[in-house]
Amino acid sequence: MIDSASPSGPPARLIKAINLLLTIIGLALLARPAAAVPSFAVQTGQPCQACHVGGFGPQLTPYGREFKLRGYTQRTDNFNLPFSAMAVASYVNTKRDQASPPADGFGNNNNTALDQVSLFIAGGLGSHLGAFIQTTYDGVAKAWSWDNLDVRATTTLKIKGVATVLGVSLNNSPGTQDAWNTLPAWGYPYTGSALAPSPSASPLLAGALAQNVLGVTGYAWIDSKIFLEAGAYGSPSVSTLNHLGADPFSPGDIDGLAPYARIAFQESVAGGMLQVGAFGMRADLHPGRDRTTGLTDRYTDLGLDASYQKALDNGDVVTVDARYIDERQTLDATCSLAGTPGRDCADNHLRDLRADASYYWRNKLGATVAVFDTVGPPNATTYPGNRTFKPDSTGVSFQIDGTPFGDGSSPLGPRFNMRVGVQYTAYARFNGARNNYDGAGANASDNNTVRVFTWFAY
Amino acid sequence: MSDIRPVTSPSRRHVLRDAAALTLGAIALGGAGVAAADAAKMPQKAVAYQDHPKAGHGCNSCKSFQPPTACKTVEGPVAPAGWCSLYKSMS
Repeated sequence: MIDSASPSGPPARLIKAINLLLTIIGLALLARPAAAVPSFAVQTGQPCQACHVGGFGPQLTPYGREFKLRGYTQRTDNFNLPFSAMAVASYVNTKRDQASPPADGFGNNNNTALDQVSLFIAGGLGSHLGAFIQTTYDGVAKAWSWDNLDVRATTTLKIKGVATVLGVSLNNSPGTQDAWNTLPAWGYPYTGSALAPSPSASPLLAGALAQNVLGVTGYAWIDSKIFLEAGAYGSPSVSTLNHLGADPFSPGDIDGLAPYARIAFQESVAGGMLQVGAFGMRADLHPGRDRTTGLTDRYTDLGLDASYQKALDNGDVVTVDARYIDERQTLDATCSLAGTPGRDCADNHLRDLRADASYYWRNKLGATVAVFDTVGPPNATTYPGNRTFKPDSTGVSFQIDGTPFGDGSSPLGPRFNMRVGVQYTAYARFNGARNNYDGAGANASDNNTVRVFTWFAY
Repeated sequence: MSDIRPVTSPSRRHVLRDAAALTLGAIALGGAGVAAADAAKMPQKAVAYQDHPKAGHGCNSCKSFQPPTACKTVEGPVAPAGWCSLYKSMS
């Protein structure tokens, strides 16, 4: 039996409360004098490369991080509407044909697709309010849905002479509000295709809850050095997520609220910016919103991250990002539903390590190399399709890209930006093994993928 | 079975009420003028400010420079010969 989350249930109350919060924020916006609401680049009077490494994409410079943490409010005297648009298209080739088409209307290999088209409301209003709201048309699933949401209220104080930004973020994906590109929400590879094969196991924080939850976090950004954040996430109702185009049943809904916390320290080192941090979340889920067992699956994610970024004298930029997530799973509900209750099934452990390094020449040509390694003990219930019943996947990824107009020099105007690139992903292990990982003869390297992409923004 | 957790229902209402209060508090603090810092300007460390020129470029030839020692986008006094990552030539 699937709980459809009646309007009087906790998820409905959550939505009502958040709607109330949005209404309050909206009224506050309306009560303020008319102010500039341009998109970020026009709002700040800066080209894309001021906020983004390589002049494109989500990888933030120290200035970009500051802009985000200050609630998208910094501005010059420009004026513009806060609307933007983005489109991504790509060609995907795998070393060996996939066993079946990755989506309706596509073939087993050599697929070309319009991956996504996104529309944004992105801008600040006054000195204390800002938003980044994205809605996306998925060109593979051929459907619209809500995408990243980050609505902020901030204020800047002097506390004992130390400049401190206090902020609150309403967002729909744990980590989407983060200012560093180490966490999964904004981590490499920054763009991907649903038509490419990908490992089946990853920590809950690596996207499973994205656009399936709503949360509020409060934070302090002290002296542009120390970041402290805490908050909680809950699940909207089935009907709400259906209206927003999200799948309400995958992975399920959160029982009560899931606490989230984040700390980070940033400091200038050797002419660059070094950051180290930690983050964590604990969520009790009803898998597929099934409450028949009276039990939940508990996920406890604890992570460490670090990054370093340096702009060289010649204008080139070097970046390094790394994160490690240790996830403890107690899958009481899943194992009970599968008819295999007990600790042997329920207790799981996932360890996920990622790191990437990039070099951007003049913010126009970039090269990135990344490694990833996900490991855990075998479990026949959670990984039934893996011959070894293990979640292990290991590999390396490369990307080269070109961004000719990141400095605002496009002949179509300073708002137009584009990136073209090639990604190559090679797997040493995939879903538990190097060879015959599925018991049907498939090898990890069969999934080695070449992706050529184009990415436009306006 | 004692280590199996039953379904619980912690009070979302209270947490969300507190979050809403925090949001309103942040807005109220700003609205009340408590903020002594200038939110419209960026800290010098966020824009790699240095008190000497870079590649011949200095604040005194930047669009954002406000003589004698201020900047539209960067906090604090800046040196006319200084430089930061937001430098935009007036020419």
